[in-house]
Amino acid sequence: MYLTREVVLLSVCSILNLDIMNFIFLLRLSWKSARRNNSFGNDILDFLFKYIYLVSILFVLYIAGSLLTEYGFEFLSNKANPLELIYFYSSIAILIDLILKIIFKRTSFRFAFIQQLPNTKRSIKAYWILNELFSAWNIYLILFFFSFITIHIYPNEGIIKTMFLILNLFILQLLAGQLANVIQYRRKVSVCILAIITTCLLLLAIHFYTDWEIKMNVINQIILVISSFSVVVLSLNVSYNYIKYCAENTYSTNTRFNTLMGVSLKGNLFKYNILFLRMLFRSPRMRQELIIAVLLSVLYFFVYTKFDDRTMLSVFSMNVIFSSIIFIILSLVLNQYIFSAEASFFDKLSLLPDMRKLLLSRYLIFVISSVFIYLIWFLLYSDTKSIFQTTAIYVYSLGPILVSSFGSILFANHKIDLFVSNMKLAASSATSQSLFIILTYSFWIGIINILNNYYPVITYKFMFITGCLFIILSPYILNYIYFLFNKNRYSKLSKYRKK
Amino acid sequence: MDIEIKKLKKQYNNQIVLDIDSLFIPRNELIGLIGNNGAGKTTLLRLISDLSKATSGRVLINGNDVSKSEAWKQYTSSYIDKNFLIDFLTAEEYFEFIAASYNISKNELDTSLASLADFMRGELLNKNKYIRDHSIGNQQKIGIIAAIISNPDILILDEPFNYLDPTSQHFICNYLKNINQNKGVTMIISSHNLELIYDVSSRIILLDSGRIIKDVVVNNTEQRDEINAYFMF
Repeated sequence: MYLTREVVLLSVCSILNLDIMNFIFLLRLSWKSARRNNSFGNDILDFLFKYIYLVSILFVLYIAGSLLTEYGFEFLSNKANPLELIYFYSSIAILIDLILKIIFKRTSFRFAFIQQLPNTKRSIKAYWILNELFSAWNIYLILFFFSFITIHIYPNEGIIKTMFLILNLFILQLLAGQLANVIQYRRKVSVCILAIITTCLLLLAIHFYTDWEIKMNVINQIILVISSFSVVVLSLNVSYNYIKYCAENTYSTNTRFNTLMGVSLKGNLFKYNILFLRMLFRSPRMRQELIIAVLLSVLYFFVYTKFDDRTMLSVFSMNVIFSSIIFIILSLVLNQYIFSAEASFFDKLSLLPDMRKLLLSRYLIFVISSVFIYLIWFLLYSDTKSIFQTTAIYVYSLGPILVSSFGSILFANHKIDLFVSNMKLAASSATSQSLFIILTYSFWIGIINILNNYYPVITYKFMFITGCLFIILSPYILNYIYFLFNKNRYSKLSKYRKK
Repeated sequence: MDIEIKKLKKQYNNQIVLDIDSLFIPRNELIGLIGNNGAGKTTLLRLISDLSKATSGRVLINGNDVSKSEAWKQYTSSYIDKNFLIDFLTAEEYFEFIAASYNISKNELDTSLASLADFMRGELLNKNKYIRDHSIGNQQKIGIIAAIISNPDILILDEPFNYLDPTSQHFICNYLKNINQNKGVTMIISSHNLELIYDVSSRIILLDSGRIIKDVVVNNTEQRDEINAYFMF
């Protein structure tokens, strides 16, 4: 048994069952089991690694929210006061939240463990509620709107309305999670629920574009909180049945998502990171690529510093190309060999139960390595005016460009000899993979240049938003790329076996 | 965990290399797969491990079609050839990597490795030597050990006695018998060494040109003699 959120939550469940001793026992047990486990070090690193990713996503959300604060408020400021505006925005956001939860959110239940607790039904309900209360899925909108709330709501409306607003957002997200479960559990009612939500949105839209007013005073806010929370509590029985349904149909629900979109950050990504780093430093071939990438980065930095008057870099395309290459050159160079480098032991990899996580672990390494380059870049060259531009290019590079470059695995048809001599390098280079990466890079840079020609004002915002979306959805996109690779796995495997 | 094969056929360039109508391997069975070169032993093991695409037919492990599900990977382990080794790792790094993939704790790994100490003969661990620099016999040992340490319910080994010295051959033979009897591991082992395969297996399958021509229980001496006669000129 490991120190998991579930164990801690179950301990809290014991409190609800007025069993303090059980609570203390479970907490102590979970800590001891984690600490005394031999893989404690690995677990901690794995945990840190995953949370770096999570914090990065939350940071991106906060930045995106700040952008909304700066530009979104101006858009509708003549229509409503800030409080009404945020309720309008959050209504749309809750609908998006619901859709995202229906598609992506999967809660894992340790059903057998809960059943051992006294008063099973009550424990399951308590577990469910606590699981939702602590779920990152239910706080991300608060973070997204945080900047707007602190700048526009708190100074005008005061602490009480602000707190109620945050509470509203949280409970509405809780409700969205509940509705998503209902839709997954009883698909037939999903149409009714979506119809109700659409009606609510229509009413809000009418409210906005006509003089029909709903004042968001404290009383209305309290009513909203109470009514939303009541729905959450009332639908607990549905959740209970849903959890039972999940527990009884574990196999069928898992397989459906394993085959296409199902990916979770859980699992030992760390072992793949270590494997990759060992390959990078121990194989002469990969070491050469690493040196090439580092030299190219240094060269680009050197050339960049020569643009003293920044004349050349004031040209949009030059700025984007120079900056994006520096951020992800290492990743692009190494992605030319992804899966062709692993081809010599691919038989074993493909038999491992969690092989699909290799791409995600590789992406996380690239993201973390690029953070250092971004920070150096940021410290050396960024003035306040170009902070947003540099960040947008950085996010865009990590998003569509880097994530798409993983598609090169679809063209990994040859085995790269990791211990080949220098002279043979050119003869056995992964040409189709390199070409794919060049084309991918050109495609995304091309799109941005075309957009900049017609809509120069929104280009950086587009880059930022697209980048954020790709980064957030990267586990799913990478999983889908692996799914495409997996469809042709037999022919690839037979090619890898050839000398 | 049982293995079921239904109408399995593998064809290369219009040549049928494997054609098995039906085969059921129940839990705890230790199958010895024998046959001359090109009989289809490795092809069968690759198909069971989903490393090769069947022209038609299905392989089911515990009811899961291996080509459509990944659930069986959690409890199945195999070593077929050198392509299973990560040659830039040391033996212990490789074992740790495999153990992490199957959520095997360090303690469990150490216990497994300790039980195989006589097999390793002090030549594999703490040598600061990459797998690629080991002798071919030691590489074979590393592959076999890596397959065993994941505590599988189904173990598939292709010619595990090749390249091993006689002592190691007998050790691994006894070890496999032991885990088959004590842990209930279902095994399929192919080999050209009839003496060892008779010793280790509970059932022998003889393949010829991709077809099963004998499926016998080992302790039936009459049938064993028939198999021996098959390999004589």
